[in-house]
Amino acid sequence: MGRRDRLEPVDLVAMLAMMRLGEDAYGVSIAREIEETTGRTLAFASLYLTLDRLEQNGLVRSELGEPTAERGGRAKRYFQVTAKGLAEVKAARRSLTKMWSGIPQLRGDAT
Amino acid sequence: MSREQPPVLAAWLLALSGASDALIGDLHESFTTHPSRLWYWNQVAMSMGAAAARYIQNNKLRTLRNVLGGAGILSAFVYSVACGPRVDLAAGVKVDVLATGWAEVEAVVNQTKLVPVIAFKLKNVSDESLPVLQVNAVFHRGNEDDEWGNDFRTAAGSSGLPPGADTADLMLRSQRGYTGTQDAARILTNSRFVDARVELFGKYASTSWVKLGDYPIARTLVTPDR
Repeated sequence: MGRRDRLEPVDLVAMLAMMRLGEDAYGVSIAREIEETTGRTLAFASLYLTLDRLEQNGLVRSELGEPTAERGGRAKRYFQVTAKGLAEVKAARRSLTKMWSGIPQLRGDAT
Repeated sequence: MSREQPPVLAAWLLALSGASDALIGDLHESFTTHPSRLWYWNQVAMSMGAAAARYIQNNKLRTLRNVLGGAGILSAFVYSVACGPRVDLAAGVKVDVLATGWAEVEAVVNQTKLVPVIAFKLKNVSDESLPVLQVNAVFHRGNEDDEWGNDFRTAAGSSGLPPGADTADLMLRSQRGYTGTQDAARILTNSRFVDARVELFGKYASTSWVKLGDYPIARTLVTPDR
């Protein structure tokens, strides 16, 4: 296998955050969604490494919004999961669900 | 939303690290919502680290020594000069004592145990956010210098206590106290009962502990919060 094309946990979390946010998915909101949902804090540099990698692999796409004064005159970069990305997310869910099921220690532990 | 701008030097280094406009804008937006110079500098340091990692990957071993040495020295110097905690906590927080007294806690069967407690909250009266704000209560019996129990709390986490904000109500209590077969009210009026006092200490980020105050413990019963 030449390049790393498997979905890393942080990739999946970022994509799920985008899907939860819909059209308002950009750096700040994605980081906040991840922190509020998982309790995990990602540095923005790490988050953008993940987002750039996902975009390079065709799993997400991005487009620039309008610059605003609260951002020092810089535009937001909005992200969306592509059809290919959605297929990867669904495949990951199927795999993880299969792996999680039937484990006695996890029985009745759903939140 | 604060109109405070990110630290100029940090913002310049961020741009130098090759961070995208979107990332710079995200950090700017986050800073105006929750201004914390320490947080911003942390983000800049991580962005520079990411830039160094990309550069090393593209230029391999030949640049490894230069990047790590130069970026490390520069980051450490700039970080220590521009980002070190600057608030004198003794003047930067106001202690609002809500109550002191004695709380009945679990003891052995058929015995009553009373321990001294202090309930308070802290107000940030400085103009800087105070990350990882911690408090330590050291209890003393009478005029004794020896420690008679202590308690510790983290009053504000890594996001910090913003300027002008109060912490939640805190109750710190000693592990040591008085144990007897009498009920709590009788213990307090016992002729051999010696009053207690508590010293409060605080620190934030990487600063040293500073004394915030010294308070007598009232000879009254209070209800423990747990």
